[in-house]
Amino acid sequence: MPPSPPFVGAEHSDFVPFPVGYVELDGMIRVESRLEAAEEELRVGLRMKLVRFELGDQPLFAFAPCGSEGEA
Amino acid sequence: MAEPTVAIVGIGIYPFGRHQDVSGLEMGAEAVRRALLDAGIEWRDVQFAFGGSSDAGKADTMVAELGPTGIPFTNVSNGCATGGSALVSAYHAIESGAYDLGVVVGFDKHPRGAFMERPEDWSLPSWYGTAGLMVTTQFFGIKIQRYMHDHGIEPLTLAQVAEKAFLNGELNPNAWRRTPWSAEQVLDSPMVSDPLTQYMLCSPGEGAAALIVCRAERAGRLDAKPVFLRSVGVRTRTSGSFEVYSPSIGVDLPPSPTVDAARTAMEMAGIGPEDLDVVQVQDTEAGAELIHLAECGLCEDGEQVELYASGRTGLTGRLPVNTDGGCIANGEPIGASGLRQVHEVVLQLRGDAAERQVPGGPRLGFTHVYGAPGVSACTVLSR
Repeated sequence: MPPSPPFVGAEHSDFVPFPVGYVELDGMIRVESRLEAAEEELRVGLRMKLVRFELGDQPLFAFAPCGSEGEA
Repeated sequence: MAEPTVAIVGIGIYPFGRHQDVSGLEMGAEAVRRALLDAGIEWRDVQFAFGGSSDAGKADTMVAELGPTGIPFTNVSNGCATGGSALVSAYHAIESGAYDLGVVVGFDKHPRGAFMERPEDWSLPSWYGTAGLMVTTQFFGIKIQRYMHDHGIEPLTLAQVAEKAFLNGELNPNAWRRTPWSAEQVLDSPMVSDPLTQYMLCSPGEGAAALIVCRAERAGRLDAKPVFLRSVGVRTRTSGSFEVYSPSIGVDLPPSPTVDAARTAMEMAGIGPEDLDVVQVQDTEAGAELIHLAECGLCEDGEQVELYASGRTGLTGRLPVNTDGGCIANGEPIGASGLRQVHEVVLQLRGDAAERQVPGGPRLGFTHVYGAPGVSACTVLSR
């Protein structure tokens, strides 16, 4: 179900559910963020990296899985 | 237990649900009239009042309906803990010796659907809202997702929480949702914020509840069977706690304000969690009920699986929880919600809860509310 305003995607009939979570910056803080990942690949402890994306005209950040290579 | 100082001698409720042509203030005033009737007193006997709503107006203006008798009437605005905070204030007003008899009232009327929040009202940047992060159900989903991961709980237990809520709601003429839903139907309802499906979440709604409180030694002169307010505990969050609309949280989370509020209330009353016969905890969604039972010391983390599978939280179980259907079956008119819980415990302790009466003559009850941004209010009540 799409979130209510002020989320800018709420009025779109083609709403696609998106993942949200808290990403831990190793031992320092946990940051709330949209996640760019398939639902089935998400699990607690997955290594993530920071990525940029745009929602309408709004530049935003998200986290995506590192794949095999990465550091958070 | 020490001699009680404060008694609840009247209760009134305006049914929870949708009431198209009735304002929140009108519902509040009607709940007060019903509580006065229950206590066998009149508005002119009342020495003070505390009341509040989140979205439905100023409580003190209901004197236009009840009668401008000149009493001090204090408005309380404390989010989901509004009712609890009003009751705490009334408790202290009597305990201090300032007054002998007062009214506590909570009411609300929210539009359909989720709350529409403005990031600016929460000291948050506007992009936090446009990005789709300012959504309460997502926060609830994330919180219970992690709790279930850490303590080996499956979605079936969440569905059993909702199933119980609707079973109790069916037996409560003042509840909003009175149709039973099986755990399977709850699991199959539309997904809102994984793992929470539509029927695991309460909806903002409408309703009102009121209490008449009085000095305990005077309670015997009134009509109603008194129930004693043994203690109240209120706490707010500490640094780094995991609250709704938190762009970031700490790595080592401090205990929730619930832990301190519940412990304070039970210590003040001189009882432990094992002494309680009937319990109401904040169940904004099914996961909140599971977490709050553990935070209040009523079970261990993870023990909820067995508690719900075995029916021990049902009306005839060892630990009846949210016997009136809780927020899930009643909806959440924010200002009224905490007082609804107290209303229910009073009914149960009086033995007047009819079809949903907990058997065996319950003697000790407990209520817990919790709300954004990290405030909890708990009470212990006894016959």
